[in-house]
Amino acid sequence: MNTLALISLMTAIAGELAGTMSLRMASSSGRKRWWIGVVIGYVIAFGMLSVTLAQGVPLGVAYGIWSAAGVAITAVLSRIFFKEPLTWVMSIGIILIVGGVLLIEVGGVH
Amino acid sequence: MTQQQLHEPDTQHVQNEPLKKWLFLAAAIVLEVTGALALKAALDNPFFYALVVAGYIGSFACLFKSLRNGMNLGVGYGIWGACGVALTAAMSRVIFGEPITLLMGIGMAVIIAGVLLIEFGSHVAQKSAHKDLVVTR
Repeated sequence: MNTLALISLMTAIAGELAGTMSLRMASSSGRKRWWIGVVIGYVIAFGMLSVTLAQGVPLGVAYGIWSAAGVAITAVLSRIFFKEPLTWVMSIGIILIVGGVLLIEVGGVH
Repeated sequence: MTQQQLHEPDTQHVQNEPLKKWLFLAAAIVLEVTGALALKAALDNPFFYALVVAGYIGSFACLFKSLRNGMNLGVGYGIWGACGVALTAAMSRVIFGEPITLLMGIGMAVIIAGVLLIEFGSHVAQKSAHKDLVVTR
């Protein structure tokens, strides 16, 4: 993976996280303006993901890293910003589904 | 917005409806899978792009409703994303005849185990949080 692919993939993950956090704020605040953040976040995410693919990174690899990182970091940020419970059992569960997503996406690349 | 406001529970907008939050999450997963499968079908027939858009918008709306009914973001987003990936792979096998490799099969089993652990863990966490609440009152 070259530098541009890496930077675009990291930006895509950041966009996804911004969109997801905005969705959470939209649900708890009841303010519609947070939906602007959801849309902008996901437009950045998918736009940057296509830049990563254009660099020759296989779809399964790019999508796997993107969604797995999104799930894991969202769980941690939800714990920090929204004080959601995250026990050891739940953390192991998150690690398992992150591993499962990577196995499915990367395991499908021939 | 201050930290204080961010952490303050909003009882006016978020209710804890255990059945509804899981039903909406399930609907969000089904719609996401529909959108993802339509994306593959759209490569042959562009009319499927309408289903892609409808599927993903509906999926986000249901995820939002799930959060509104008391689903935690960390739990909900993880289960939504992982089940979407696993079901899309399974349905791609059924509809498009795409192969499921051994690694993918292991991945699906691991995701199911992970979802069960998260579900079990969040129940225990919620119960102990409730107990704390009762004790402090």
